[in-house]
Amino acid sequence: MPQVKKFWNAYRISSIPGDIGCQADEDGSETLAIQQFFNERFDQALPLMRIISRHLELSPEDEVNLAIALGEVFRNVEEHADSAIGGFWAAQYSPSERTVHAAVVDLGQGIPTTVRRAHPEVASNKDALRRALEPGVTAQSIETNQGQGLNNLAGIVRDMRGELLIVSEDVALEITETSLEPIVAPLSVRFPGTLVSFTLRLGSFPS
Amino acid sequence: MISLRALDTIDPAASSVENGDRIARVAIATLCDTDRVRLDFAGMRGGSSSLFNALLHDLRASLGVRAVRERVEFVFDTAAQRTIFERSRDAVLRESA
Repeated sequence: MPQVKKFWNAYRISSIPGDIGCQADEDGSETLAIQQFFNERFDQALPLMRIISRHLELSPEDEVNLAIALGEVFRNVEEHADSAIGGFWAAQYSPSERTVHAAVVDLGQGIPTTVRRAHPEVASNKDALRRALEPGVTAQSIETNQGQGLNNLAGIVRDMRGELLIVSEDVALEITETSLEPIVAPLSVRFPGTLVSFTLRLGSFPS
Repeated sequence: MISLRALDTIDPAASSVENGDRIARVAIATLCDTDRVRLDFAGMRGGSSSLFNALLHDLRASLGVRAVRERVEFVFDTAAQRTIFERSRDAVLRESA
């Protein structure tokens, strides 16, 4: 799984305490400060939108997809993770590639544990992580849950020719531009929580 | 038919669920004075599918599935938003249809 190395980079970054500020990289990319959160907010993706807006005018489709992709992950952390540290997120925009890379991490109960609590018939962590992307698979943490969050995220990633990596407990799931069906594989180490990392290509949403 | 702009009701600092509840409250109150209401989500750039889940859940609880379909019109300015909404609608309104 080629993206697993990204997981380790994001994991290392997530261990840095505090705010490292917004910085421009040598290739012109801009990195959003690592931010901690405990609750999902409607305007949570706004700082990232502002960074991108310095380089191009975001289309309404891209704005919506970007906000919802992040919103689904933030919501999952709040509703399901039970993470004592809440969550941390960071993002980077590359003007030359017109890509947004974002990572959200928590140290709560992983996705396999959440899924298997609600669906004890699921046999393994691999199956549980795969099932988490199916529509309607929900832990019903709150009454209005519909189990659409990760399915929506995966749909946006596919629509925007992006990539998705989810690492949780001892399994990882990957969707790439060339492999639209999720690939799930075991890890040799156990991650104590969940990391969701995705890349979206702006301007590629089908018209 | 009375049109309501979702943006006029949304609190950017509140969660998607709270905002879904807020929009539902305004829509339900408006339906006391009119037969039909149009909810316009133009310009809404934030939140998650939980907003639509909460909104539809509240509307269904207050009006029933049939009345939601007949008395509430949903308008979007992006295909992306419509797609997310339709997934929520199919899930919430199918449950008790």
